[in-house]
Amino acid sequence: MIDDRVLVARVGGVIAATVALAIALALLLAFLKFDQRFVDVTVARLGLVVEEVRRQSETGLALGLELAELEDLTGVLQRAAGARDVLHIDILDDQGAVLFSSAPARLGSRADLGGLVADAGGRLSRRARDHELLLTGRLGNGFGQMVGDVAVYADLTPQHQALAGVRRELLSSTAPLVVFALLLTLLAVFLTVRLSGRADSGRDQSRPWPPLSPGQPGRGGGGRLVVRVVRDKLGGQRKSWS
Amino acid sequence: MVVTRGNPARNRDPLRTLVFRLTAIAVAVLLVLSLLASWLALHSFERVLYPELRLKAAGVAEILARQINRALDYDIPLQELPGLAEALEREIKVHPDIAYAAVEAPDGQVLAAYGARPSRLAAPGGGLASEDYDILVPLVGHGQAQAQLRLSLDPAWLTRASTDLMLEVASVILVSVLVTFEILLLVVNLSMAKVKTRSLGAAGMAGAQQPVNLVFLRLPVFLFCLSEELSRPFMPAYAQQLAPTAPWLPVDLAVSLPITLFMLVWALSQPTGARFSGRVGRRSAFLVAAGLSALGLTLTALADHLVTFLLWRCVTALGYGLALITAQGVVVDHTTGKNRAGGLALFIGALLAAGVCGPVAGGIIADQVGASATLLVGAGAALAAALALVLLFGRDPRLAAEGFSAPHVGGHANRPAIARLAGDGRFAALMTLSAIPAKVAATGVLFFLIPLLLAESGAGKAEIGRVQMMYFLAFIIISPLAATLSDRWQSRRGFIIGGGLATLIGLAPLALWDQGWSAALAIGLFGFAQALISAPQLTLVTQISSRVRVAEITAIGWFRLLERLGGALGPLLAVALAAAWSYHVAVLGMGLLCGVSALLFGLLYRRAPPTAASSEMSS
Amino acid sequence: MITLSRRQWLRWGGAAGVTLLTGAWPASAATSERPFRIHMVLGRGEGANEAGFKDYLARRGVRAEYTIHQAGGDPERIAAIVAELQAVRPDLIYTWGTPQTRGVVGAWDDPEPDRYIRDIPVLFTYVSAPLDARIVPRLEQPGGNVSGTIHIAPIPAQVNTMLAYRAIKRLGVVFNPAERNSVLAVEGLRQEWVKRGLTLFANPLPLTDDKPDPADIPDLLAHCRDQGAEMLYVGPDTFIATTHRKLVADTALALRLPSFSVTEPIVRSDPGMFALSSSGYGVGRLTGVKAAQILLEGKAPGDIPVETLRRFSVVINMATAKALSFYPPLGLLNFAEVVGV
Repeated sequence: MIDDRVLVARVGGVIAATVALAIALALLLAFLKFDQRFVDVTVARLGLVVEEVRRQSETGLALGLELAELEDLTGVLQRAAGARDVLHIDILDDQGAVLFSSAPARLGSRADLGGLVADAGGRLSRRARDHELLLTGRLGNGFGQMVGDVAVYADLTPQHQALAGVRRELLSSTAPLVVFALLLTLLAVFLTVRLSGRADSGRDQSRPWPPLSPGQPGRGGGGRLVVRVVRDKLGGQRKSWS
Repeated sequence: MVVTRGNPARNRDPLRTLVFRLTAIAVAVLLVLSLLASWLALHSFERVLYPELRLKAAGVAEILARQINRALDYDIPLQELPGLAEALEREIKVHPDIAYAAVEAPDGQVLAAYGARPSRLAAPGGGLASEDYDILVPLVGHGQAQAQLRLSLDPAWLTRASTDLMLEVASVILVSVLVTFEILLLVVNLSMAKVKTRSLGAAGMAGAQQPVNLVFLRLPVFLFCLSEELSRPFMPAYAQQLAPTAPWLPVDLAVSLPITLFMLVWALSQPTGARFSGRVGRRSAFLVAAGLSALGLTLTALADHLVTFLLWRCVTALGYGLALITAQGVVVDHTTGKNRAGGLALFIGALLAAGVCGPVAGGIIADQVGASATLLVGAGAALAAALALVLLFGRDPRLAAEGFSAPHVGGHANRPAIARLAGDGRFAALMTLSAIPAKVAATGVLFFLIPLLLAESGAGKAEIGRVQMMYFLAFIIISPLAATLSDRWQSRRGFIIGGGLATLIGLAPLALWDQGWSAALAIGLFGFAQALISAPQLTLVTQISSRVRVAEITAIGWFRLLERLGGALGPLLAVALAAAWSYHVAVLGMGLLCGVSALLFGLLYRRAPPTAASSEMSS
Repeated sequence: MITLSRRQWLRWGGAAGVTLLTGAWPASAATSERPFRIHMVLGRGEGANEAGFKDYLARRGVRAEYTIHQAGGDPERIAAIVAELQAVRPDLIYTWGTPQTRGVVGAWDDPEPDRYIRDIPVLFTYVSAPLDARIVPRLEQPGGNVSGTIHIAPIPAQVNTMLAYRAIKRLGVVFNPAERNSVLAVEGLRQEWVKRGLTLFANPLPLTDDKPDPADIPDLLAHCRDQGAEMLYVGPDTFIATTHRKLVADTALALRLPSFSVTEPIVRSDPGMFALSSSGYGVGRLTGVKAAQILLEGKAPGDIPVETLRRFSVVINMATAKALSFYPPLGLLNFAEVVGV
């Protein structure tokens, strides 16, 4: 039995599914973009710390001191590591060994610099693993040689928590909205199909169509659009496809 | 989608009307819902982003304050300290999210400032007062506050970020609407088909052969074209990445070759493809084509050398060419001269819809998961096209082998036809002065220069896809109108000249500006110009074909083949111009090519003897 | 690229040949047998340059014996030193300042090369214009047996620094025309300064018997100011910037004429207003880098570029700036070293 209800269910289903998918995709996309932008702002803020440490180290290097001789860097690092979200800050030599650190236990260890990606400006490189962000900036001496790196480790847990909060909030606020909209869609589809049917049956009466075959399902009144359409279509086809 | 010329009855097709109405409902629901959802999303984004921005601005303020405090510690009066505004400027310029910085004396007098202080009105509806956008830091010398530093966040930065988001959301919605339309058309037709079977069966007409419903062809064609269109925004850049693996090839050539080869293989495969699809049957041919494309795209995604990459592009092109000629063959098989235009319109509609959806969706996907993964998604789309064909047509015998005679496109048997066509001055003029330049510009600019030029000025793949979409969008909107009007005014030559000049006018601004809306606008205009030409060209070909006594379909086949061969030149010409000057100049060159050849076309085509035309009319 | 690597290959091949024949690899000398013999030809006793040089080599593990020759710019004494060097044949000769360097290596195109050292590596330092002084024909790859370091900033950098302090239009110079490097510096400055459409007042000290008289300095400075100079340029001029720098700085301050110098003593120990200079220690270390390349890596001096430090420090005497009410801009203050607070 094919009648309007089946058509409404099918068409409504298609529209509802596409609408839901589209909204879900759009929100997901918006969220991903936001995520990226949000982390970019955090990186820019922590980049200021890298720049500050770099500025102070390079002043010493320009005076002709070796990187390993800049003893007062430990104080600089400890002060700078007080910045929000910063876990610890290291100064690495050109082999990646930790020369100075705000966390004394790290002295002499070797930093894992794998997976670093240079930012667009080229002054900073970054890597995010789980909740840990690593930002590095190169250190140059007075001869223009690169002698080491500043490495700032930061904890992104607060940022990730904020993002998770946004995700939850979006889900909880949009889900009922979507459900409501889908119901509304079904109603609108139903009405459209009905009204189209009525308009067509109205029009049909003025035109000399062959009568419906006796076996044709139908309970009278409005509706049965599909059947009418088929007839309409067949009529058209007889004219043009023969 | 594409209103068919000379068949006004279709416009009143109640099925289409119903589908349009239903699509309108989908659009309305989507718009309202997405607006609400975006508003909610932006609201929560802003609330989280804003404190982070404040923190960062506070960091910037601290750096500035430390510098100024140093001067204060040396007892330099701020009024006499030079370079204060410049220092503010230097720091603010690298932070686009900070609009204003100022040093203010205790009495409120502004000693130095840079930027424009955001007005209270500019603040978006986040419920933040303008004071909330300010960061105040005291300036201290010898332990005493002597002034204060004020930094203001830029509310417009938040707005710009939101605009970018909204554009992305809008693209998703546009693509969804088109996809919804395609599916609705199918669902409604499917429902209809079932009823029809019943009603016809009940009426005792079961023995009569029903015509193939060409609407069912739309989804496979749409999905298939999508598989290729997805890679539009990044294909040249992708080739550029692989260029170093073939150091013996100049980079510029390496970048243009994939598109050129694709066009060449596509064009050259047409005659053989047509024969092949006629022999093995449409259904098998389409499945083979989809398989080839899926294979080609998968291997392209995995290729790590330019040579293999090019090889797999050629395989994909072979599949692409075979699929399109097969689909076209189905239309030709199951239509007669009278309703063929309508059938082809259905086919072209699917093509254009894929043209709109593909680059946008591909750009977005590629931005999120990378170019290779997008190619794999394309392969999936090709397989889905094959699946759709199987599901929709089942084992319909009319799509099997020997169901119909081979199509009249290209082929050995038609050698004399091309000789007769080529001998006609008008055909030659149309080909060389309008069809080929237009195709050269289309492939050169749309598929090649635009992705490279925009990527060079820092655009993401999603943005490139949006710009490419504008071409197809304009084309969809304008081409039916152009077809109707050029018929009504009997002015094919005028439309072709106008289209050529409009191409120049559309592309010329790109030589100067490629920022923001200008590129999208220029490409939209380009699509508009090309849409003006398309239908009138075909009409002229038909007219010529009847004069030189070549079957219409053959003439069009040759027209398309030559046009595509010309199109293969597009990237080569573009790369030559770009290598000599720049991408911008190359775009201008393409525009000039179209504009100048359109003018020449106007001059030459007029000279054709009017008597020939009138005698043709009378015959 | 290819030619360079081929040259390196040839050199290594050559060095290996030497090793085979004599059993002595140049680099091994540092750690094994005898220390390197380095002779220093100085003008004014050991200073920061030499400290930086020796410290760097010591850090690299180079054992060296230093022999110091005091020349004081006296040509006759230099000629005697050259004769001694030719007899002793040290591993490396270090020369300080233009007069000593010219005295030891001569002009690169001198018709009588036998009078100079041409077969022992020579590294110079504290030379402001080695090209103009014809010490080397090129900076990038000087050729021959000579390379070294320049201690003053390139003239465009000097001009930029002056203009960064204030966008002045008229600059005054007082210089000793008897000093070759000073004349060359003023000429270089004039070209750069005039290229930017600015005015330069160059005032040479009058010479009596080829010698300037310090008593002329105050009058000439006053003349400078009367010409309308907004700033005084103190170049690499031993008479003005070193010998009589106190007189120059005091007079300029009294005349309320801000001064810019390319060497820093006049700012550190006297009331010169500001300077753009490289630290003597840093230049010494850079010279040490080149010495290590010659001694440890066996590089030919002719393949080692003549360089200056990439970074210079701006030294500002804040007491003078305050006295003149001529404050440095924030940007400059930010990375300047401030003295005289």
